[in-house]
Amino acid sequence: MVGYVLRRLLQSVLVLLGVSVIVFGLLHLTGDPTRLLLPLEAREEDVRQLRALLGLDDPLWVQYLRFLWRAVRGDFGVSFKHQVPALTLIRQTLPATLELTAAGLGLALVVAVPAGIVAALRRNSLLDAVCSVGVLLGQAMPVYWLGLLLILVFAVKLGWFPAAGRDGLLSLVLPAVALGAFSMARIARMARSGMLEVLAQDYVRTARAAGVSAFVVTYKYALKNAAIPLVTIVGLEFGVLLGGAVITETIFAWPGVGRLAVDAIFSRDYPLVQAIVAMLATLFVLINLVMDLVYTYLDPRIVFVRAKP
Amino acid sequence: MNESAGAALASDVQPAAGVGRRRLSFRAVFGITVLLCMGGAALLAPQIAPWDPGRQMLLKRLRPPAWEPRGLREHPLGTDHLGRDILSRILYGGRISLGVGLSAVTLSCLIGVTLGLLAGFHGGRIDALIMRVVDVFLAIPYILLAMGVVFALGPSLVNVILVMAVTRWVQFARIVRADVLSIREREFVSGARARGNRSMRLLFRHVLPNALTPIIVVVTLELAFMIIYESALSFLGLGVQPPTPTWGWMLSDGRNYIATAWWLATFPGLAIMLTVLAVNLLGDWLRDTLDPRLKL
Amino acid sequence: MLSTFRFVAAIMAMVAALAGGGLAAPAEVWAAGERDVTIAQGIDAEFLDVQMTNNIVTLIINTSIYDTLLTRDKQLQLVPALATSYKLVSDKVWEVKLRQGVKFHNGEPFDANAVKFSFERINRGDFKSPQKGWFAPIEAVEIVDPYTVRFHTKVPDPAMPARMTLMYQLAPKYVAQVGDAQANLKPVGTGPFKFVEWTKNDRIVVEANDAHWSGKPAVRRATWRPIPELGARIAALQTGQADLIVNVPPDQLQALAATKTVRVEKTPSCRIIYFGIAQIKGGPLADRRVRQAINHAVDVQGIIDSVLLGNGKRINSSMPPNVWGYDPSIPFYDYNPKKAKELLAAAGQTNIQLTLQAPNGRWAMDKDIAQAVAGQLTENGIKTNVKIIGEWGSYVRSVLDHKTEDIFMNGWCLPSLEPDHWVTPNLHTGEPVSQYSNPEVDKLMEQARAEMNVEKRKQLYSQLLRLIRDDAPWLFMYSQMDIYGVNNRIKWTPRGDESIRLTEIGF
Repeated sequence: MVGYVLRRLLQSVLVLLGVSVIVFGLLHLTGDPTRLLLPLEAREEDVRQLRALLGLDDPLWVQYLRFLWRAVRGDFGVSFKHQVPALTLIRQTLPATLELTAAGLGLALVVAVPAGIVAALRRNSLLDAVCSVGVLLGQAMPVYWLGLLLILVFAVKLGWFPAAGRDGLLSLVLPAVALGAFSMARIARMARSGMLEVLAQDYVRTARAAGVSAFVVTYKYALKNAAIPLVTIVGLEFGVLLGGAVITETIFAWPGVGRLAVDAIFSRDYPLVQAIVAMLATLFVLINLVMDLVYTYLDPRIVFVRAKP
Repeated sequence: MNESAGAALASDVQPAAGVGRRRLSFRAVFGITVLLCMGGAALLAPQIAPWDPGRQMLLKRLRPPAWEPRGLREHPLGTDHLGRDILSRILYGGRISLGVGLSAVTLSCLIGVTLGLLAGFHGGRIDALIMRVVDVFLAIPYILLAMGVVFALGPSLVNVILVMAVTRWVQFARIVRADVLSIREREFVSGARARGNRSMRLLFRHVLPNALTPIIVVVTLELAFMIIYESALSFLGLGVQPPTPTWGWMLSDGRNYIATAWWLATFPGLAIMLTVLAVNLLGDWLRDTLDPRLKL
Repeated sequence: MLSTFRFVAAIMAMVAALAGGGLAAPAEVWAAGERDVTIAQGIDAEFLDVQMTNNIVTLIINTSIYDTLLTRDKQLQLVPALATSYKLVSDKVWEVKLRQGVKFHNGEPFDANAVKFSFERINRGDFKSPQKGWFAPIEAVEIVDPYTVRFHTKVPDPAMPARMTLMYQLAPKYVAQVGDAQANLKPVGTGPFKFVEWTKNDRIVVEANDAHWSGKPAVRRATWRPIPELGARIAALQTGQADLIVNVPPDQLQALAATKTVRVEKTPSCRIIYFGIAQIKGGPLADRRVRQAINHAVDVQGIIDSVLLGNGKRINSSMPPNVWGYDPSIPFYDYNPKKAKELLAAAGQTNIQLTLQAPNGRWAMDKDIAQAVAGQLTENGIKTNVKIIGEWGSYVRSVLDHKTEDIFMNGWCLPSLEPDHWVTPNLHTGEPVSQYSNPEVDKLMEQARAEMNVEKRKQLYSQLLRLIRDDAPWLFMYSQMDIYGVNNRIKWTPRGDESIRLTEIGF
């Protein structure tokens, strides 16, 4: 067991290293940011000076090692554009993104899990079709379209929620719905197939044959076992949601990390982009690590038997 | 327990809901019909589109669809802010959007399946390496990765396809690998091995056909994802560039007119929605009939 | 075993906890008070250290916190601010008298030291200020007495008063004490409003400085919010979340007309939009007849009417009407496809193919205008391809590096409203933004720049603009109409220099 945990930790570290290489390499592909950071009137000399100051003249591998060394100690440098330490900017904006992602995921779970279960129980019926199509609609609309429609209907026409910005609980609803809609289909599908598999198990059939009501069977046996694959999916969905958050945050003027990242990529703000991706990747790896450990704790057989999906 | 027995038992457990098990699923019918329509329209666009999709007719900007008071009969779905015919743009746009989606999925599938097969079949070091790479790609939010790459290389049709494929191949790799691992243990494979078949032939003749089921399902699901993905990139300004019409661009352009000229965004949005819905339903149906226990 | 319900409950608890954190966050739900306003722009301020930016949105926000030596009133005329009067002591020396009894928000007194400090800070070697170019001709600041300074310029500079409208004053002791980084995060100025808080990408809150020398502001508290998505920004106005929004494109006016609580305010802007022709590339573009043909081949007014719905004013040369030096007698190029074809034939260029580049979303309807222009050029004998460069950074770079396509769209306005700034930076030989070179034009520019006699200067600019118009280095388009959405509960009309002054808002 301990061996497993250690192995997972080592894997996580390797993954983060890989992430750092990709992020670093990609950014340097985007080109030289110095021209963008200087005013229109800057002379060639100023450009050269800035390049030297930012350390952009050194060979790539030197820059990479420097980046890595500092990153490990928590220093991601100062954002080119904002002139503020990258980590500070992330610290200010990450809570907003986490709030949005958690709300979106929570909403998706609350809607999609029952939908998937119902669909499994009433397989191939009209209810199954309605539930399936219902959650699928959420995934079939581009997030920004859904978001703008939500604003138009629920904020402007009905006035129930604010149109944009982060102003307390009410303002979280529309963005969370827009964001979570995308995950609903996947989660419902997961719940449905997990439920189907469980329902086909021997002990469930036995319980039914013994006269235990469908209700009890469902809630006592099937759900508990169907929950396990859900645990894995939460970790993975988190990554998908972070991707969707980028657009949702832009639409709803939500002051999160996604918006910061978009801006940073467009301004070739190397330190900030590196910091953001590193943070998000670390978060993702951590969450999945925790989920995996929970999974293992729930069912220790898994360690030895299952092929990591 | 084989699949069909499992399926039969599952439905036995349920109380009869009054709707018996159908032979022809609503999903399959809907999915295939819509896709055929979309695909057909896309292929036949040059023949059936009434106008050149790039032709600007500035005097006829923002005309509503033909059935509205200010609408014009020659523009059944209206015109956009530069006076271009919406119906024609939807038809031509379908070619690009569907084409991009299909290409991206194909590429993604090739990369992912290959790596997944390698990982699952060889195990050991290769497996560990490939899985770490998979983890790396999973850890980086795909949108940011895509933005970075497209930004670096410049937005073009090819780059968009490339980027979409490169950020999504992991979906295939994981599924294929899991499948391969379980298949590997089965009798007939060991038997074949004992008979001395070389590993590559083994891979293709025995392993791949059995792994086909999940691959097919994932292909459909990923196709749906790619279409949405393309529209997201267009929103960020990094999709296929104008004047090439794509549904994503049309929706993105039209989003400022939702309140005033609703037809600019609604029609491409509906096109996307229907197509994605159809593909997803088809994928669901495929999974159901082929192997409902697939955890996808 | 973990039951699904417990699992879901755990997620909900997490959500609740984080949302609770959200409630603890800025709890201002919209503009709380009757005399508070919320202004929504497209982006957040880059810096609250006003000297670190030349970005118009950032400057607008900073203008509520900092004062300048001189400023412009609603009619864009120069009026005193922190400087009460100025006079020319000699050709290269300006004496300025400062307002007395003014204090910075932290209590520090404003005097000649602050002026000297503020000027020298911009020119400090290690300070990366984009404003250096604004004050290039000024050599030094001399303190005569606590409320009198003298500016020494390197050459005679008639633009000095205009420059003084850009001299934002910082508090020397405060900046020295807290350092540059903190001065950016917690700004201190002499302005009509004091800084309260700044949450990145969320809001900047300022509150009234009742001790301001211009009097008590009517607005008590102002919140600046960045809402990048146009649809959401308009929705915020319609729901009452925002009282004033900027950059409303002409196409959206219909949507706003339907909302009874808001109105639209428009004003001709100082910002001009034009299509630069890269004459220095040579080839057909070097022939003035080709460039003139381009001007005759595009129906500029027609495009303004159809794409911008009339919200734009044609420009006859390189200056907009609300900048001093503009000459209304200079004729426009008439839309004359026949003449265009004749000119092309005379130049022997009947088969040209050009490429036109434009950004996407930088200026109102920019890519649509570009596509309309390209379409018309193609129709009238000059086959033109369009290249849309969505990413602003790349676009800027292509312009500054002189690596643009044959025709490049550009917008231009400098807050100084100084006439030279509409000719030199974008038409003088060798300037980064200029891809045009004409020694005759250069000479006139340099002459006009240094001419101290107002009458003579006006004549020189007339001459210069006429010369520019005839030589057609650009496809002359229009000056923008700045369109704002305003909530009917506030009294406000826009200014022609793109600025928003909180002191001009009433109820």
